[in-house]
Amino acid sequence: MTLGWFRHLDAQFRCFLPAITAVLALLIDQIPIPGEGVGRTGPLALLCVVTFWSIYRPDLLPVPAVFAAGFVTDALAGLPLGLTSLTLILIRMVVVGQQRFFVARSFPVVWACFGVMATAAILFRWLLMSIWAGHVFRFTPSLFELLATFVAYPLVSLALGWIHNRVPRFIYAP
Amino acid sequence: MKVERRSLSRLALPIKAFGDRFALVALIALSIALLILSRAEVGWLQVVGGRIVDTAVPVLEVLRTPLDASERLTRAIGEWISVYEDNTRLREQNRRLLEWQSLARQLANENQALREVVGMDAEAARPTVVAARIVADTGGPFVHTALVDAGSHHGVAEGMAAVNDRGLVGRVIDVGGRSARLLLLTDLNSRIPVMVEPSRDQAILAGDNSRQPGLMFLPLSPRLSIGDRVVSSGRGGVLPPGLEVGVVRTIAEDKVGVATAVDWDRLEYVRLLEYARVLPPEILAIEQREAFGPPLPPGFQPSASVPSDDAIEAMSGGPEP
Repeated sequence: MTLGWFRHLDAQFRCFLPAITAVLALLIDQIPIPGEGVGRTGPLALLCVVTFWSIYRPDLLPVPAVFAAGFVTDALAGLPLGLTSLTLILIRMVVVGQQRFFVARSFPVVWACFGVMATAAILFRWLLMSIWAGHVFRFTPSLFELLATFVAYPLVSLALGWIHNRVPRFIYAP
Repeated sequence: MKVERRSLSRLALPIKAFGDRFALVALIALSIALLILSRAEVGWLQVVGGRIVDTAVPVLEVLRTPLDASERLTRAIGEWISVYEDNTRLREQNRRLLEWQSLARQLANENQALREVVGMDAEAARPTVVAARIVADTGGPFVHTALVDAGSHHGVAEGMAAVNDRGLVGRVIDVGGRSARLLLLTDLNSRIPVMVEPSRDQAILAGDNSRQPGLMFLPLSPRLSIGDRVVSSGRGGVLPPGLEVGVVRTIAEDKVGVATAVDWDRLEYVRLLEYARVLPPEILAIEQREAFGPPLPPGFQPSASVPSDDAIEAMSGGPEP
Protein backbone atom coordinates (compact mmCIF):
# COMPACT_ATOMS: atom_id res chain seq x y z
CA MET A 1 0.00 0.00 0.00
CA THR A 2 2.70 2.46 1.14
CA LEU A 3 5.05 1.33 -1.60
CA GLY A 4 2.30 1.84 -4.16
CA TRP A 5 1.69 5.34 -2.88
CA PHE A 6 5.39 6.22 -3.12
CA ARG A 7 5.58 4.83 -6.64
CA HIS A 8 2.59 6.94 -7.56
CA LEU A 9 4.22 10.06 -6.07
CA ASP A 10 7.49 9.31 -7.84
CA ALA A 11 5.71 8.81 -11.16
CA GLN A 12 3.75 12.04 -10.67
CA PHE A 13 6.98 13.95 -10.00
CA ARG A 14 8.64 12.50 -13.09
CA CYS A 15 5.67 13.69 -15.16
CA PHE A 16 6.58 17.24 -14.16
CA LEU A 17 10.17 16.88 -15.43
CA PRO A 18 9.43 18.35 -18.91
CA ALA A 19 7.83 21.43 -17.31
CA ILE A 20 10.79 21.77 -14.93
CA THR A 21 13.23 21.62 -17.86
CA ALA A 22 11.22 24.37 -19.60
CA VAL A 23 11.47 26.60 -16.49
CA LEU A 24 15.22 25.95 -16.26
CA ALA A 25 15.68 26.71 -19.96
CA LEU A 26 13.83 30.02 -19.77
CA LEU A 27 15.92 31.07 -16.75
CA ILE A 28 19.18 30.05 -18.44
CA ASP A 29 18.15 32.09 -21.49
CA GLN A 30 18.22 35.20 -19.28
CA ILE A 31 21.66 34.68 -17.78
CA PRO A 32 24.57 36.43 -19.51
CA ILE A 33 26.73 33.85 -21.31
CA PRO A 34 30.01 33.35 -19.37
CA GLY A 35 32.87 35.19 -21.09
CA GLU A 36 30.48 36.80 -23.55
CA GLY A 37 29.31 39.68 -21.41
CA VAL A 38 26.14 41.71 -21.36
CA GLY A 39 24.14 42.38 -24.49
CA ARG A 40 25.32 39.41 -26.58
CA THR A 41 22.93 37.18 -28.47
CA GLY A 42 22.78 33.56 -27.30
CA PRO A 43 20.80 30.44 -28.14
CA LEU A 44 17.11 30.14 -27.33
CA ALA A 45 17.20 27.08 -25.07
CA LEU A 46 13.46 27.30 -24.50
CA LEU A 47 12.77 26.81 -28.22
CA CYS A 48 14.91 23.63 -28.18
CA VAL A 49 13.10 22.32 -25.07
CA VAL A 50 9.61 23.03 -26.39
CA THR A 51 10.41 21.39 -29.74
CA PHE A 52 11.92 18.30 -28.07
CA TRP A 53 8.97 17.65 -25.77
CA SER A 54 6.47 18.44 -28.54
CA ILE A 55 8.05 15.61 -30.57
CA TYR A 56 8.41 12.99 -27.83
CA ARG A 57 5.95 13.82 -25.02
CA PRO A 58 3.53 16.62 -25.97
CA ASP A 59 1.12 15.36 -23.29
CA LEU A 60 3.60 16.37 -20.56
CA LEU A 61 4.19 19.89 -21.90
CA PRO A 62 0.66 21.03 -22.81
CA VAL A 63 -0.23 24.29 -24.55
CA PRO A 64 -0.96 26.20 -21.27
CA ALA A 65 2.53 25.28 -19.97
CA VAL A 66 4.12 26.49 -23.24
CA PHE A 67 2.09 29.70 -23.03
CA ALA A 68 3.18 30.27 -19.41
CA ALA A 69 6.86 29.66 -20.26
CA GLY A 70 6.65 32.17 -23.11
CA PHE A 71 4.84 34.69 -20.91
CA VAL A 72 7.50 34.52 -18.17
CA THR A 73 10.29 34.79 -20.78
CA ASP A 74 8.74 37.96 -22.18
CA ALA A 75 8.27 39.44 -18.70
CA LEU A 76 11.90 38.75 -17.74
CA ALA A 77 13.37 39.88 -21.04
CA GLY A 78 11.35 43.08 -21.17
CA LEU A 79 9.79 42.03 -24.47
CA PRO A 80 6.13 42.69 -25.33
CA LEU A 81 4.05 40.10 -23.44
CA GLY A 82 2.66 37.46 -25.77
CA LEU A 83 5.50 37.58 -28.33
CA THR A 84 7.35 34.42 -27.25
CA SER A 85 4.12 32.67 -26.14
CA LEU A 86 2.60 33.03 -29.59
CA THR A 87 5.78 31.87 -31.36
CA LEU A 88 6.18 28.81 -29.12
CA ILE A 89 2.50 27.79 -29.30
CA LEU A 90 2.63 27.91 -33.11
CA ILE A 91 5.86 25.86 -33.17
CA ARG A 92 4.28 23.29 -30.83
CA MET A 93 1.20 23.15 -33.04
CA VAL A 94 3.29 22.43 -36.17
CA VAL A 95 5.50 19.83 -34.43
CA VAL A 96 2.58 17.98 -32.83
CA GLY A 97 0.86 17.89 -36.24
CA GLN A 98 3.94 16.13 -37.70
CA GLN A 99 4.74 14.06 -34.59
CA ARG A 100 4.47 10.65 -36.33
CA PHE A 101 6.98 11.78 -38.96
CA PHE A 102 9.50 13.02 -36.34
CA VAL A 103 9.31 10.04 -33.98
CA ALA A 104 10.22 7.58 -36.73
CA ARG A 105 13.23 9.56 -38.02
CA SER A 106 16.93 9.42 -37.09
CA PHE A 107 18.51 12.29 -35.15
CA PRO A 108 20.20 14.08 -38.13
CA VAL A 109 16.83 14.30 -39.89
CA VAL A 110 15.15 15.63 -36.74
CA TRP A 111 18.00 18.13 -36.30
CA ALA A 112 17.66 19.35 -39.91
CA CYS A 113 13.89 19.71 -39.44
CA PHE A 114 14.52 21.59 -36.20
CA GLY A 115 16.75 23.95 -38.22
CA VAL A 116 13.87 24.68 -40.59
CA MET A 117 11.43 25.23 -37.72
CA ALA A 118 13.84 27.40 -35.73
CA THR A 119 14.35 29.54 -38.86
CA ALA A 120 10.60 29.94 -39.19
CA ALA A 121 10.19 30.72 -35.46
CA ILE A 122 12.96 33.32 -35.34
CA LEU A 123 11.84 34.92 -38.60
CA PHE A 124 8.27 35.06 -37.26
CA ARG A 125 9.43 36.63 -33.98
CA TRP A 126 11.53 39.20 -35.87
CA LEU A 127 8.61 40.06 -38.16
CA LEU A 128 6.11 40.30 -35.29
CA MET A 129 8.46 42.44 -33.19
CA SER A 130 9.18 44.74 -36.15
CA ILE A 131 5.45 45.23 -36.72
CA TRP A 132 4.83 45.71 -32.98
CA ALA A 133 7.58 48.30 -32.55
CA GLY A 134 7.03 49.96 -35.97
CA HIS A 135 10.75 49.64 -36.64
CA VAL A 136 12.63 47.25 -38.91
CA PHE A 137 15.17 45.57 -36.62
CA ARG A 138 18.52 44.46 -38.04
CA PHE A 139 18.34 40.77 -38.89
CA THR A 140 22.00 39.96 -38.14
CA PRO A 141 21.51 39.47 -34.34
CA SER A 142 18.49 37.24 -35.07
CA LEU A 143 20.65 35.26 -37.49
CA PHE A 144 23.25 34.74 -34.73
CA GLU A 145 20.47 33.68 -32.40
CA LEU A 146 19.29 31.16 -35.00
CA LEU A 147 22.78 29.72 -35.55
CA ALA A 148 23.42 29.47 -31.80
CA THR A 149 20.05 27.75 -31.26
CA PHE A 150 20.70 25.31 -34.12
CA VAL A 151 24.15 24.42 -32.71
CA ALA A 152 22.75 24.10 -29.17
CA TYR A 153 19.98 21.65 -30.15
CA PRO A 154 22.05 18.42 -30.08
CA LEU A 155 23.37 19.27 -26.59
CA VAL A 156 19.91 20.12 -25.26
CA SER A 157 18.52 17.05 -26.98
CA LEU A 158 21.15 14.83 -25.35
CA ALA A 159 20.31 16.10 -21.86
CA LEU A 160 16.57 15.89 -22.48
CA GLY A 161 16.93 12.39 -23.94
CA TRP A 162 18.45 11.26 -20.65
CA ILE A 163 15.48 12.77 -18.79
CA HIS A 164 13.04 11.31 -21.32
CA ASN A 165 14.15 7.79 -20.35
CA ARG A 166 13.18 8.57 -16.76
CA VAL A 167 9.70 9.87 -17.53
CA PRO A 168 6.94 7.23 -17.25
CA ARG A 169 5.58 6.09 -20.60
CA PHE A 170 2.02 6.18 -19.31
CA ILE A 171 0.66 8.22 -16.45
CA TYR A 172 0.64 5.66 -13.67
CA ALA A 173 -2.38 5.21 -11.38
CA PRO A 174 -2.23 2.79 -8.41
CA MET B 1 -15.13 -3.32 -14.90
CA LYS B 2 -12.95 -3.42 -18.00
CA VAL B 3 -15.91 -2.64 -20.21
CA GLU B 4 -16.84 0.32 -18.02
CA ARG B 5 -13.31 1.77 -18.24
CA ARG B 6 -13.23 1.37 -22.00
CA SER B 7 -16.55 3.11 -22.44
CA LEU B 8 -15.42 5.88 -20.10
CA SER B 9 -12.21 6.43 -22.06
CA ARG B 10 -14.23 6.40 -25.29
CA LEU B 11 -16.28 9.24 -23.87
CA ALA B 12 -13.34 11.10 -22.32
CA LEU B 13 -11.08 11.11 -25.39
CA PRO B 14 -13.21 13.38 -27.64
CA ILE B 15 -13.82 15.72 -24.68
CA LYS B 16 -10.07 15.90 -24.03
CA ALA B 17 -9.37 16.49 -27.74
CA PHE B 18 -11.97 19.27 -27.80
CA GLY B 19 -10.49 20.79 -24.63
CA ASP B 20 -6.96 20.72 -26.12
CA ARG B 21 -8.14 22.38 -29.32
CA PHE B 22 -10.11 24.98 -27.39
CA ALA B 23 -7.05 25.75 -25.19
CA LEU B 24 -4.88 26.11 -28.31
CA VAL B 25 -7.21 28.60 -30.00
CA ALA B 26 -7.92 30.47 -26.74
CA LEU B 27 -4.23 30.85 -25.85
CA ILE B 28 -3.28 31.99 -29.37
CA ALA B 29 -6.04 34.62 -29.10
CA LEU B 30 -4.83 35.56 -25.60
CA SER B 31 -1.24 35.97 -26.84
CA ILE B 32 -2.40 38.31 -29.61
CA ALA B 33 -4.55 40.25 -27.12
CA LEU B 34 -1.56 40.57 -24.78
CA LEU B 35 0.60 41.90 -27.61
CA ILE B 36 -2.00 44.58 -28.34
CA LEU B 37 -2.39 45.43 -24.64
CA SER B 38 1.39 45.69 -24.13
CA ARG B 39 1.52 48.11 -27.05
CA ALA B 40 -1.06 50.23 -25.21
CA GLU B 41 1.12 50.00 -22.05
CA VAL B 42 -1.73 48.83 -19.81
CA GLY B 43 -0.82 49.41 -16.16
CA TRP B 44 -1.88 46.09 -14.61
CA LEU B 45 0.08 44.12 -17.22
CA GLN B 46 3.24 46.00 -16.24
CA VAL B 47 2.50 45.24 -12.57
CA VAL B 48 2.15 41.50 -13.37
CA GLY B 49 5.43 41.61 -15.34
CA GLY B 50 7.13 43.38 -12.41
CA ARG B 51 5.93 40.72 -9.95
CA ILE B 52 7.32 37.93 -12.16
CA VAL B 53 10.69 39.71 -12.36
CA ASP B 54 10.77 40.24 -8.57
CA THR B 55 10.11 36.52 -8.00
CA ALA B 56 12.64 35.33 -10.57
CA VAL B 57 15.59 37.55 -9.58
CA PRO B 58 16.63 35.52 -6.46
CA VAL B 59 16.48 32.30 -8.54
CA LEU B 60 18.59 33.90 -11.29
CA GLU B 61 21.12 34.99 -8.66
CA VAL B 62 21.49 31.38 -7.48
CA LEU B 63 21.78 30.08 -11.06
CA ARG B 64 24.49 32.63 -11.84
CA THR B 65 26.73 31.52 -8.99
CA PRO B 66 28.38 28.46 -10.63
CA LEU B 67 28.73 30.36 -13.91
CA ASP B 68 30.43 33.24 -12.12
CA ALA B 69 32.80 30.86 -10.37
CA SER B 70 33.81 29.21 -13.65
CA GLU B 71 34.25 32.62 -15.29
CA ARG B 72 36.43 33.81 -12.43
CA LEU B 73 38.56 30.67 -12.67
CA THR B 74 39.07 31.10 -16.42
CA ARG B 75 39.98 34.74 -15.91
CA ALA B 76 42.40 33.88 -13.09
CA ILE B 77 44.18 31.31 -15.27
CA GLY B 78 44.47 33.87 -18.09
CA GLU B 79 45.87 36.44 -15.66
CA TRP B 80 48.44 33.97 -14.32
CA ILE B 81 49.69 33.33 -17.83
CA SER B 82 50.08 37.04 -18.64
CA VAL B 83 51.34 38.17 -15.22
CA TYR B 84 54.77 39.31 -16.45
CA GLU B 85 53.42 41.43 -19.34
CA ASP B 86 50.71 42.85 -17.08
CA ASN B 87 53.28 43.84 -14.48
CA THR B 88 55.41 45.73 -17.00
CA ARG B 89 52.35 47.45 -18.47
CA LEU B 90 51.01 48.39 -15.02
CA ARG B 91 54.36 49.88 -13.91
CA GLU B 92 54.36 52.12 -16.97
CA GLN B 93 50.70 53.01 -16.41
CA ASN B 94 51.36 53.74 -12.74
CA ARG B 95 54.15 56.17 -13.65
CA ARG B 96 51.84 58.04 -16.03
CA LEU B 97 48.94 58.04 -13.57
CA LEU B 98 51.11 59.54 -10.81
CA GLU B 99 51.83 62.48 -13.11
CA TRP B 100 48.09 62.80 -13.77
CA GLN B 101 47.34 62.54 -10.05
CA SER B 102 49.48 65.54 -9.19
CA LEU B 103 47.81 67.51 -12.00
CA ALA B 104 44.35 66.40 -10.78
CA ARG B 105 45.17 67.53 -7.21
CA GLN B 106 46.22 70.94 -8.48
CA LEU B 107 43.04 71.25 -10.53
CA ALA B 108 40.83 70.07 -7.63
CA ASN B 109 42.32 72.71 -5.35
CA GLU B 110 41.90 75.36 -8.00
CA ASN B 111 38.32 74.22 -8.62
CA GLN B 112 37.53 74.33 -4.89
CA ALA B 113 38.98 77.83 -4.62
CA LEU B 114 36.92 79.01 -7.60
CA ARG B 115 33.76 77.43 -6.15
CA GLU B 116 34.36 79.31 -2.93
CA VAL B 117 34.81 82.56 -4.87
CA VAL B 118 31.44 82.18 -6.62
CA GLY B 119 29.76 80.72 -3.50
CA MET B 120 28.81 77.38 -5.10
CA ASP B 121 27.98 74.45 -2.83
CA ALA B 122 30.07 71.46 -3.92
CA GLU B 123 28.20 68.96 -1.71
CA ALA B 124 24.81 69.68 -3.26
CA ALA B 125 25.76 67.89 -6.49
CA ARG B 126 26.86 64.66 -4.77
CA PRO B 127 24.48 61.88 -5.83
CA THR B 128 23.06 59.05 -3.68
CA VAL B 129 24.61 55.69 -4.50
CA VAL B 130 23.13 52.17 -4.45
CA ALA B 131 25.33 49.24 -5.51
CA ALA B 132 23.72 46.42 -7.50
CA ARG B 133 24.68 43.27 -9.35
CA ILE B 134 23.52 42.43 -12.87
CA VAL B 135 21.69 39.11 -12.60
CA ALA B 136 20.13 38.83 -16.04
CA ASP B 137 20.49 40.39 -19.42
CA THR B 138 18.20 39.81 -22.29
CA GLY B 139 20.89 40.19 -24.93
CA GLY B 140 18.54 39.24 -27.69
CA PRO B 141 18.16 40.99 -31.00
CA PHE B 142 15.40 43.38 -29.91
CA VAL B 143 16.06 44.91 -26.50
CA HIS B 144 19.21 45.72 -24.56
CA THR B 145 18.13 45.77 -20.94
CA ALA B 146 19.53 44.17 -17.79
CA LEU B 147 18.01 43.16 -14.47
CA VAL B 148 19.78 44.12 -11.24
CA ASP B 149 19.22 42.73 -7.75
CA ALA B 150 18.32 46.00 -6.04
CA GLY B 151 14.89 47.58 -6.04
CA SER B 152 12.74 50.12 -4.24
CA HIS B 153 13.49 48.40 -0.89
CA HIS B 154 17.13 49.42 -1.38
CA GLY B 155 16.31 52.97 -2.43
CA VAL B 156 16.37 52.50 -6.20
CA ALA B 157 14.08 54.83 -8.14
CA GLU B 158 13.16 55.26 -11.78
CA GLY B 159 15.51 57.49 -13.76
CA MET B 160 18.64 56.73 -11.71
CA ALA B 161 21.86 56.58 -13.71
CA ALA B 162 23.74 53.26 -13.69
CA VAL B 163 27.54 53.56 -13.82
CA ASN B 164 30.50 51.31 -13.25
CA ASP B 165 34.19 52.15 -12.79
CA ARG B 166 34.53 52.94 -16.51
CA GLY B 167 31.48 55.15 -17.04
CA LEU B 168 27.78 55.34 -17.78
CA VAL B 169 26.01 51.99 -18.37
CA GLY B 170 22.39 53.13 -18.70
CA ARG B 171 19.48 54.21 -16.55
CA VAL B 172 16.75 52.62 -14.47
CA ILE B 173 13.43 52.32 -16.30
CA ASP B 174 11.43 49.93 -14.09
CA VAL B 175 11.59 49.31 -10.37
CA GLY B 176 10.23 46.40 -8.36
CA GLY B 177 10.66 45.70 -4.67
CA ARG B 178 13.83 43.64 -5.02
CA SER B 179 14.78 44.22 -8.65
CA ALA B 180 15.11 46.94 -11.23
CA ARG B 181 15.48 47.01 -15.00
CA LEU B 182 18.24 49.04 -16.65
CA LEU B 183 17.91 50.40 -20.16
CA LEU B 184 21.45 50.11 -21.53
CA LEU B 185 23.03 52.91 -23.57
CA THR B 186 22.99 50.66 -26.62
CA ASP B 187 19.22 49.99 -26.63
CA LEU B 188 17.14 51.34 -29.47
CA ASN B 189 15.04 53.40 -27.04
CA SER B 190 17.95 54.92 -25.09
CA ARG B 191 18.37 58.70 -25.42
CA ILE B 192 20.99 60.43 -23.23
CA PRO B 193 21.82 64.16 -23.34
CA VAL B 194 25.58 64.41 -23.82
CA MET B 195 28.33 66.92 -24.46
CA VAL B 196 31.39 66.43 -26.66
CA GLU B 197 34.65 67.66 -25.19
CA PRO B 198 36.62 69.83 -25.85
CA SER B 199 34.21 71.66 -28.21
CA ARG B 200 31.34 71.43 -25.62
CA ASP B 201 28.88 70.69 -28.45
CA GLN B 202 25.58 69.39 -27.04
CA ALA B 203 23.94 66.31 -28.55
CA ILE B 204 21.75 63.32 -27.79
CA LEU B 205 23.35 59.87 -27.61
CA ALA B 206 20.90 57.50 -29.27
CA GLY B 207 21.23 53.72 -29.05
CA ASP B 208 20.53 51.60 -32.12
CA ASN B 209 20.90 48.05 -30.69
CA SER B 210 24.52 47.97 -31.88
CA ARG B 211 27.57 48.25 -29.64
CA GLN B 212 28.22 51.75 -31.01
CA PRO B 213 25.42 54.27 -30.28
CA GLY B 214 25.27 57.43 -32.41
CA LEU B 215 25.07 61.17 -31.76
CA MET B 216 21.86 62.93 -32.77
CA PHE B 217 20.77 66.57 -32.84
CA LEU B 218 24.31 67.92 -33.11
CA PRO B 219 24.71 71.67 -33.74
CA LEU B 220 24.70 72.76 -37.40
CA SER B 221 28.47 72.86 -37.74
CA PRO B 222 29.77 70.52 -35.07
CA ARG B 223 33.46 70.67 -34.23
CA LEU B 224 34.10 66.97 -33.81
CA SER B 225 37.12 64.83 -34.30
CA ILE B 226 37.79 61.16 -33.73
CA GLY B 227 38.87 60.47 -30.15
CA ASP B 228 36.90 63.37 -28.61
CA ARG B 229 35.55 62.54 -25.17
CA VAL B 230 31.76 62.27 -24.74
CA VAL B 231 30.28 62.94 -21.29
CA SER B 232 26.74 63.31 -19.96
CA SER B 233 25.62 66.93 -20.10
CA GLY B 234 23.10 66.76 -17.25
CA ARG B 235 20.46 68.51 -19.36
CA GLY B 236 16.95 67.48 -18.41
CA GLY B 237 18.06 67.09 -14.80
CA VAL B 238 17.75 63.29 -14.73
CA LEU B 239 21.40 62.26 -15.10
CA PRO B 240 24.31 63.93 -13.33
CA PRO B 241 26.60 65.96 -15.61
CA GLY B 242 30.15 64.89 -16.39
CA LEU B 243 29.67 61.09 -16.37
CA GLU B 244 32.08 59.39 -18.77
CA VAL B 245 30.15 57.98 -21.75
CA GLY B 246 32.79 57.17 -24.37
CA VAL B 247 34.81 58.59 -27.25
CA VAL B 248 33.88 59.53 -30.81
CA ARG B 249 34.95 56.54 -32.91
CA THR B 250 33.52 57.13 -36.40
CA ILE B 251 32.34 60.22 -38.22
CA ALA B 252 30.23 59.52 -41.28
CA GLU B 253 27.50 61.34 -43.20
CA ASP B 254 24.68 59.44 -41.55
CA LYS B 255 26.12 58.56 -38.14
CA VAL B 256 28.64 59.79 -35.62
CA GLY B 257 29.48 56.59 -33.76
CA VAL B 258 30.55 56.61 -30.12
CA ALA B 259 32.61 53.77 -28.62
CA THR B 260 31.22 53.40 -25.11
CA ALA B 261 33.62 53.56 -22.18
CA VAL B 262 31.94 50.55 -20.55
CA ASP B 263 33.42 47.15 -21.33
CA TRP B 264 30.18 45.20 -21.92
CA ASP B 265 32.03 41.87 -21.73
CA ARG B 266 33.10 42.48 -18.13
CA LEU B 267 30.05 44.15 -16.70
CA GLU B 268 29.02 42.57 -13.40
CA TYR B 269 28.28 45.29 -10.87
CA VAL B 270 26.86 48.78 -11.26
CA ARG B 271 26.34 51.77 -9.03
CA LEU B 272 22.99 53.51 -9.27
CA LEU B 273 23.15 57.26 -8.77
CA GLU B 274 20.31 59.48 -7.83
CA TYR B 275 20.85 63.03 -8.91
CA ALA B 276 18.27 65.82 -8.73
CA ARG B 277 15.14 63.84 -9.45
CA VAL B 278 12.84 65.77 -11.75
CA LEU B 279 9.27 64.83 -10.85
CA PRO B 280 6.34 64.92 -13.21
CA PRO B 281 3.75 67.55 -12.10
CA GLU B 282 1.17 65.01 -10.89
CA ILE B 283 3.68 63.21 -8.61
CA LEU B 284 5.09 66.53 -7.42
CA ALA B 285 1.54 67.56 -6.37
CA ILE B 286 1.15 64.31 -4.36
CA GLU B 287 4.52 64.76 -2.64
CA GLN B 288 3.70 68.39 -1.81
CA ARG B 289 0.37 67.33 -0.34
CA GLU B 290 2.12 64.73 1.83
CA ALA B 291 4.64 67.31 3.05
CA PHE B 292 2.43 70.38 3.53
CA GLY B 293 -1.10 68.98 3.90
CA PRO B 294 -4.06 69.43 1.52
CA PRO B 295 -4.10 72.45 -0.82
CA LEU B 296 -5.87 75.60 0.39
CA PRO B 297 -9.48 76.03 -0.77
CA PRO B 298 -10.14 78.74 -3.39
CA GLY B 299 -10.83 82.16 -1.90
CA PHE B 300 -9.05 81.29 1.36
CA GLN B 301 -8.36 84.28 3.68
CA PRO B 302 -5.61 84.12 6.32
CA SER B 303 -7.00 83.86 9.87
CA ALA B 304 -6.77 86.63 12.49
CA SER B 305 -3.82 84.92 14.20
CA VAL B 306 -1.64 85.74 11.20
CA PRO B 307 -0.86 89.47 11.30
CA SER B 308 -1.77 91.33 8.11
CA ASP B 309 0.65 93.59 6.24
CA ASP B 310 -1.02 96.71 7.70
CA ALA B 311 -0.63 95.38 11.26
CA ILE B 312 3.06 94.71 10.65
CA GLU B 313 3.50 98.23 9.29
CA ALA B 314 1.69 99.69 12.35
CA MET B 315 3.90 97.71 14.72
CA SER B 316 7.07 98.90 13.00
CA GLY B 317 5.90 102.52 13.18
CA GLY B 318 4.35 102.99 9.75
CA PRO B 319 5.77 102.86 6.25
CA GLU B 320 9.11 104.42 5.50
CA PRO B 321 8.82 107.81 3.87
